[in-house]
Amino acid sequence: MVLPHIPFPEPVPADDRAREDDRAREFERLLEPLLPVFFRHAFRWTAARDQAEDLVQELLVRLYPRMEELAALDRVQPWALRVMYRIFVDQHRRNLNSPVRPMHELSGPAAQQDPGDCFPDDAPQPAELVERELTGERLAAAWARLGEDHRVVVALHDIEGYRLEELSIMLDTPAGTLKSRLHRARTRLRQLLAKEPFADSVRARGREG
Amino acid sequence: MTQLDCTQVPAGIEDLLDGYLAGERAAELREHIVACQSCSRAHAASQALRAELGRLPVPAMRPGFAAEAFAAATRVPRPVEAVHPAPAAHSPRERRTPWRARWRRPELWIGAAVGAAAAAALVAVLWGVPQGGSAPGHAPGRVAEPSPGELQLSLYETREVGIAIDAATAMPGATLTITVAGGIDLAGFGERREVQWEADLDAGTNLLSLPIIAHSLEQGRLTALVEHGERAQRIEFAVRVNNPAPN
Repeated sequence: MVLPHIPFPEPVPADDRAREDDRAREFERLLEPLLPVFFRHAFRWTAARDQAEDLVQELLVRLYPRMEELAALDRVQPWALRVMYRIFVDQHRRNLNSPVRPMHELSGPAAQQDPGDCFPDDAPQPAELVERELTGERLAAAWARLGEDHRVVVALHDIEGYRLEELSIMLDTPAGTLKSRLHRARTRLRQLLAKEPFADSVRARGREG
Repeated sequence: MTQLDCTQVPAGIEDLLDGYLAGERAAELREHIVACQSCSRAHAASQALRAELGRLPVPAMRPGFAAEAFAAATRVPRPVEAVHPAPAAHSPRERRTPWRARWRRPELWIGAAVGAAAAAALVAVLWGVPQGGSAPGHAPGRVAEPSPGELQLSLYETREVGIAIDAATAMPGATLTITVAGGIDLAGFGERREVQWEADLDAGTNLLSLPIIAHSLEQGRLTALVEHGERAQRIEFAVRVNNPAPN
């Protein structure tokens, strides 16, 4: 019985291979210094190291074929972040279509809209936060529960210091829409912070007092 | 106290801290914040929240991630398209599973023995076929009994290693990934340790011949992964490299 043979890719000629190796080295030289920056952004957007690594990995895969375009840029970072944001949005959309979803997203049609729109604007006012003691631990927990769109806009604007006009280009979204989103994101963050229990250390101090 | 209504202040505070307010409007707001205890606290709290946001910890990248990520990104399987063009909707890049996701799906990684025993949809078996000939009892192009164990190669010897892939049904556009490690290479592929491409598998046994060369005495490992849709089958094979017998 003659069995079907699976074709195996032809070896790459040595010259092509050398060129490809040079190109790969140049790509690495160009982007390696920025990798921690991409990872930092990705982590803030996803709030999970594994997902952040997936995002950065996919970014590199998308950028490599466009290396010549990349090398000609004055500022690689905003351009690359724009690409990474598109990947992030695509992944987020895929997750929305996935049958496996985190519990806090299982709110029916509300899951399809901007998470900040799901809640009335009854957030505790900023001053209350001071009284409730703002700890890094509580903020990290609230941050992880913040909607992805909200994490992106707060991370880029409030943490990284991008202006709305810059973000409008980077995220391909009108500045007015971003401003509204930023407002809702901050409101939602305060709501989540208000619901976060106090850290054990804070509770312990309370008991001692 | 100025004429500003405190209910209007929170949004103004954010604009002020963002640097989007200037001139008279900013001065008026600052004056109000100084004079109004409640708005002053709100202003301080907003500042505190922003400062704390800036201190949100970011973990370090996993050791080795950068090297692996660059290796994966620059390991573009160009020969794939030349040998077996895939439909646009199934181009290798679009189908590509992210690095972490792929390696984090242990439930899809059925070992060869388990896969064979369970008669899974995909079963891959390996056997060594001397170059230009056939292993004893294994005529090329015929189904061979799997002979699990170690394949032996002499240093600098090139050998065609055959892989039989049993597919329960025809599997168009299956992704094949061959990875070598240790003292062996894919002959003709230089330093590239992994080749990935797409191929249409017929129902039944499909044969794949891999050109393997031993470049050092370190034990080699050859891994073949076949993926189709949500199904995947992987087999690993150890390759012992021997010193050639002196003439």
